[in-house]
Amino acid sequence: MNNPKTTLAALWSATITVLFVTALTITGDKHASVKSWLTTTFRQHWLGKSILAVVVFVMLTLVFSAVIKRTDSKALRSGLIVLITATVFGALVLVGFPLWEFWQK
Amino acid sequence: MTQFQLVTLIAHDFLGVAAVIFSYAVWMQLVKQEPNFHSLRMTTLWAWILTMISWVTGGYYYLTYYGKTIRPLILAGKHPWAHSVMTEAKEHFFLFLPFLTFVLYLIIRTSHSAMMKDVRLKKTVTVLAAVIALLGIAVTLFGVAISGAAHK
Repeated sequence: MNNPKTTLAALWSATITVLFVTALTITGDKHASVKSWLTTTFRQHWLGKSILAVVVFVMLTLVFSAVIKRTDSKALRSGLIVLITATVFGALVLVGFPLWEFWQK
Repeated sequence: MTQFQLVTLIAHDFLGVAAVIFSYAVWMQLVKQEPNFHSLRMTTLWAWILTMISWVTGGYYYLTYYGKTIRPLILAGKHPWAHSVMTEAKEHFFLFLPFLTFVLYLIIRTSHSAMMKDVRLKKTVTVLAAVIALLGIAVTLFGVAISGAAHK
C-alpha cells in the first residue's frame, strides 16, 4: 500500500467506478430490464450497485497496478483532475436526473 | 422497527457525521502552508473507515426497514420529493465516498513528499478533499430533509 503505483491505480479505478455508478443508476432508471436484473441477481438494486462498484474498483486497481508506468507528481495531478471532474459531473447528474424526472410528473 | 434496526440507523447517522467531520478536518489541514502529514494519515484513514461503517449500517437500515416502511410514508405524504429526489440522489452519490476517501488516504500515505515539493499537486489534492467534504455535507443535509419528511 506504500507503492505510488497502487495509489495511481486506485485513483484511476475510483474515476471509472464513479462513472460506472452514475451510468448504472441512469440506465437502471431508464431501462427496467437493468433494474430488474440487479434486483434478481442481488436481491435489491442498490445492494447490486454497491457490490458491483466494489468489484469494479478492486479489479481495476489490480489491473492498473500492473500496467501503470508513470508515477510522478504530474501523472498524479492529471489523474486527480480527471477524478475530481468525474465526481462533480456524476454528483450533478445524480441530483439533476431525479429532480428532472420529478418535475416531469 | 427492531432494536437492531434502530441501532444501525443511529450508527449510520452518527458515524456518517463523524466521517464528514474528519473529511472537513482533512480539507482544513491541507489548506495550511505546512500540513501535518502525520496527523493527516490518521485523519484520512478514519474518514475512510467511518464512511465504510456508515455505508454498511445505512445499507442494512435501507434494505430492511426504509424501503418497506419509510419510503411509502414519504411518497404518500406532503413531501414526496424527499424520497423521489433526495433519497434517490443521496443513495447513489454516497457510493462515491468510500472510494474517494480511500484514494485520499493512499495519496497522503504515499505522496506527501511530492505534495510538499509540488504546490500545484498539493492544491489539487486539497480540491479533492474539499469535494469529499462537500459531498459528505450534502449527503448529511439530504438525510435531514428525508427524516423531516417521514411523518404520518
